Parts: sequence; structure tokens; C-alpha cells
Amino acid sequence: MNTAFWVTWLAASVRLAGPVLAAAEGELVCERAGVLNVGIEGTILLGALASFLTAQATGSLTLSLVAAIAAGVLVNLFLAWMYVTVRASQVVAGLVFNVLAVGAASAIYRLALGGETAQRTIPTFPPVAIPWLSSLPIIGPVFFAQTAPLYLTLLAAAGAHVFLFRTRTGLALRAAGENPRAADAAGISVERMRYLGVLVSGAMAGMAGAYMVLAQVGFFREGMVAGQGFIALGIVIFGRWSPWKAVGAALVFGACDALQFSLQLSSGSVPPQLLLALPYLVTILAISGIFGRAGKPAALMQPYSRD
Amino acid sequence: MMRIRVTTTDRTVDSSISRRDFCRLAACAATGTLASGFAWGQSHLVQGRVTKVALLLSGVITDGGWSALAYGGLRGLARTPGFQTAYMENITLARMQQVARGYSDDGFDLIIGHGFEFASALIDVAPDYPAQKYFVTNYQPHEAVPANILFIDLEYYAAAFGAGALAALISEKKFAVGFVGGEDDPNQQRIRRCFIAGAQYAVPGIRGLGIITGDYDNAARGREAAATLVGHGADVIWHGADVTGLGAIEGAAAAGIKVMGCYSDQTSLAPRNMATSFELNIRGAVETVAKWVAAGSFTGGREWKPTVDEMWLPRAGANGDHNPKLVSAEAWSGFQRVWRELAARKIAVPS
Repeated sequence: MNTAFWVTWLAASVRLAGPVLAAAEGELVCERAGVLNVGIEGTILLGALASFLTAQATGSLTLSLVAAIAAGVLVNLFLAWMYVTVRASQVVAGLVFNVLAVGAASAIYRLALGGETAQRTIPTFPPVAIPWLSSLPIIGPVFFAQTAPLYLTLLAAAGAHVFLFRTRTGLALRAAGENPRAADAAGISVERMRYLGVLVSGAMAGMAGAYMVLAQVGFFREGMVAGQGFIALGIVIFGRWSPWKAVGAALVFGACDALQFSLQLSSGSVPPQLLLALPYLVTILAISGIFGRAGKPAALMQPYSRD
Repeated sequence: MMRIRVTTTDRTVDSSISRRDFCRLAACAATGTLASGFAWGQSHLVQGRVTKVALLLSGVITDGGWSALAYGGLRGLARTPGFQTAYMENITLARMQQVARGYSDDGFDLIIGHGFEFASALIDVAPDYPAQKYFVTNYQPHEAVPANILFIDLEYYAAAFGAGALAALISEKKFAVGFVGGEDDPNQQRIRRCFIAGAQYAVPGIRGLGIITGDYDNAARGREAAATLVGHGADVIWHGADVTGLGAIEGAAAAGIKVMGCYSDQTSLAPRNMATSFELNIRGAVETVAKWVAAGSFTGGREWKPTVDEMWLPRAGANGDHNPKLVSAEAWSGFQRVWRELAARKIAVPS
């Protein structure tokens, strides 16, 4: 296997990992607070739409990214109300929200198109080469010549780690996800912590949608999320609810996804069907618990009431 | 999500009311919007013979590719006097028969299933509605099919061979050209083989590369597949992968190499890099079959076999059929020679 194989495979791995990592980091914070936000698939789609429409209207990529994050927070206010205040089933509410999001995105996109079916594109974030580091062999183009949203996602992973394990609010949020009654007795507002977790998840899922549009493809389509929100849910489990391990899990998923491309060009002996199934096979194995105890937050998916 | 649109360009008196109309009127009355129900019902007050055409889609009309093409044909019919059209999107496999029977019960003269996924459902439905005609925009799956259903050979393989030839002819380095495919099915695998064979037919010794992404709807994967092909030396890329293919175009444009579109004229996606697009003439096929039905000359129970130059139209936006900045006159001439031979079926494409 030559240098081209390694560079193309690893660079594609990092790029494919980006959006799912962004969504997974937000989901991780949410689950640490005790809420499983299944609605991130729909939130990613709405974030993608918000970023596309904002980019079309303003031409500003930064504003588009902000709009996607804002859209994610806004729609997740509704989800947080369903999960925390109404105490609805988190799985059912999230799944129904995903269906609703597809319908809403489709309707809004068509209204924006005004009846035309022509293809519209927007500019995307160019790769930013980090001086000196980007010229390192293999590692340089793979890790240090990526787009701004990837660097932001990695910063968000670091931020999630600091927030969860180095701040008082992060400790309170984790307490709400581990033992909400004890947290409540200690004066922590479990409801507020869980709202915070869902809103962080919404912001990061919105950013993941913007990542797809503004850094990967430059257009919007109703089916473009293609299950990546659900992959992010798997990555949180694979990453054992740790921000740094989630980075590794997302890279493993991206590497498996990208490996099929490179191997199709360099090997005739591996069945292509196996290569196509590889990322999903790895995800299923990772979340099955075969490779160790999952260690999920003790009160995950348990609604909390003071009564 | 299911959506239905009904348009009409002519008016006649239709004294009967269909089950679908009845349900719609009942729903309108129940929600207090009877006025809109009457407004829809008036579309049946037409003069003369109206041919009713329904288009069934598993995707959406805003996909900018496969579904949009068939919808374009339907829109053309809607503007033609004597046709009334309807369409439904996002039809799942489980609902295909039910939807086809619904339109058949409603007296639609022609029901078009857009894509191979409709073949089985329409073959099952067609014998129960001998007065209706059915058209599936894909190959005839087996020898014996009902007499009122028509299939079409879209000449994918010949088109892929031609695209491979053109890709090789416009390659600057003459080292490698690449193909990005969609779902891993025998059609896509054969299209890949034909693309590679076409490239090596036009430029012996050139490497033909192909990646089947396993997905028609994942543009990010398409982009990464294109980037991988570029990393392996490809300097021209073609795709056959709908939305995934749009990502491949973005990937090729980002890498600054030449790219060729598929299904529709995709010049607007990458005007500086798009050499040409192979536009699938589904619009023409839909309009032709509908006119056969209107004229009473429809003959089913067979596969319609247009030639590759009837079914695939090179398009390059305002440039006509190719971008002269990316395709030299010599390369275009060489491609046209191959294209004519494919149309005359003088070249045996790989099986």
C-alpha cells in the first residue's frame, strides 16, 4: 500500500468523522444529564437547512454556522420541554420529532425554492492549512489541512471535557444524570441541568448540519443526513460517554467508512459488500458491550419528578 | 411524507366521482374547508377527452436528479392540452401496490412507476386493471409481463461506456479516470465495468477506477469517494449516483479537476469544472409514452429500446453539449465517433 492509499484513506476518515463527532459531543453532554436525545437526526437536518438558507440569503459562512446552531437550540427547546417538563418517552418523542423535522425541512425548502427544481449551491469553507504542521508527511494533510468546522468540533470536544469534568456546572449536570434525587437534595435543579444538556445537544447537532452543508457538499437535500444522527448515538456509547474517547470512536467509524473507498481501488479480493457493511458492523459491535462495560449514566432515560 | 398535486390543462364534464375525490371532499368538509374541496373538484369539469397520467416516485421532485427528471416530463404534460397529471412522492415499497391501485381505481389512464423498485408492484397490479396502462422506467425484469405494462431499456451501459471514453479523451495526464457509483447492486457494478471499458477503449492503457459508495443519498460520501479517486491519480470523474453524485461533483471541483454530470444538466454545480453532463431523457420518455396512450397506440407487454443517443443527451448549460474550454475539438470528435458506434450498437459493452 503506497502513500496515496494512506493519505486518501486517513484524510477521508477525518472528514467523514467530523459531522458525527460534532453531533456526538452534544449528545454526550445531554446523556450525561440523563436525557437520551434521539431527535438529533432531525435537528441535524434542520441545522443543515438553516445554514443553507442563511448562506443563500447573506453569503456569510460564519453567519450560516451561527444560524444553524441557533436553529438547533430553538427546536431543542421544544424537545427539552417534551423530555423534561412533560416527561414524555424520550425515544418516542425523539423519533416522532425526526419525522416531523423531515416534513418541516421539506416544506420550508420547497417554499424557498419557489417551485423550481434547479440545483442551487453555496460556497463552502476552504481547507485551512496550519503552518509547518500541514507540511508534515502523511499526518500533515490528514490532520492539519482541514476546514474550520473540523477544528471547531475538536475545540468543542475539549470544551465538553473541561465543562463536564472541570466545572461546578458540569459536576451538577453529571449528578442530574447519575442520581437526580441526590442532586436535587443537594440543591441542584435537575430540570435546569437537563434542559441545559438538551440545548447543548441541539446546538451541536445544528452545527453538525451546518458542517455537512458548509464544509462538505455546498447544497441542501431533504435526505442528506442519511442516518448520521443515529450513528452519533452509537458513537456516544462506543466512546463510553467520554468526550475524548468519542473523538477516537468517531475516527474509527470514519476510518471504516473511508476504508471501503480505498480498498475498492487497491484490492480485488475483499468482497465490496463486506466493505460497505464494515462501518455499521463496527458500530454494532462497539455498542454491544463485547468490548467492555458500557458505563452509561445511571439515570439515563429516567424522567425525574420531585413528587 | 406523502404529497399529491393535481393539475389540468383542459376541461370536460365528468359526472362520476372517484373514491379519492370523495375522500378528499369528506376531509375538506370535516375540516371546514369545503370551498377548497370544490375548487379541486372543478378541475374535472373539462371538455373533450382528457388523458390522466399519474407519476409514482420513491424520492422527491426536488432531488435535482432522478425524480426531478420524471417530474419535468410530467410538468411538460401538464402544460399540454388534453392531459391531466398527478404525482406522489416518497412512496415506500410497502405502499407501492396500494398507491398504484388507488390511481387505477380513480381512472388514471397511465400510471408511471419511476424506477426499478416499482416493477414488481405494477406487474402485480396491471392484470387487475386491463383498461389502464402502466410504464416502469426500468428494464423488463423477466420475459412474461402483462400486456398493459411497458418497460424501457435506458441504455445505461452504453452511456457509461461513452462517458468512460469521453473521460479518457479529455484526461490531461492520461493516467487515470474515475467513476463514483451509488448503491451496490448489479446495475451499478456493470456501469462501473462499462465506464472502465469505455475509457480503455478510447485511450488504451489508461487506468479506469471506480468506487461504489453503497448509497444514492449521501453527498458527503460522494465527495470523499471523489477525493479518494483524485488521490489515486484520476483527473476526470463521472458519477451515476444521484445525490451522492452531487457530492462527487463538489469533490472534483474542490480538487480542481474535470467532472462530468449524470441524469440532468449539472453544469450549474461546477461551471468551471463540468465538461458535459449526460442528461437522461426521462422527460422525453414520459411525454412519448403518455402521447402513445392518448393516441391509442400504446403497446405493452414489452421493453422499449431507444438508442443511447435518444436516451442520453450531452448538455453543458449555455455552452450547448460540451464546454469547449475543457473538451478539445479533437476529443469531442473522438467521443462522437464512439457515441455513433454505440447508437448503432456496433460496440459490445461488457456484461
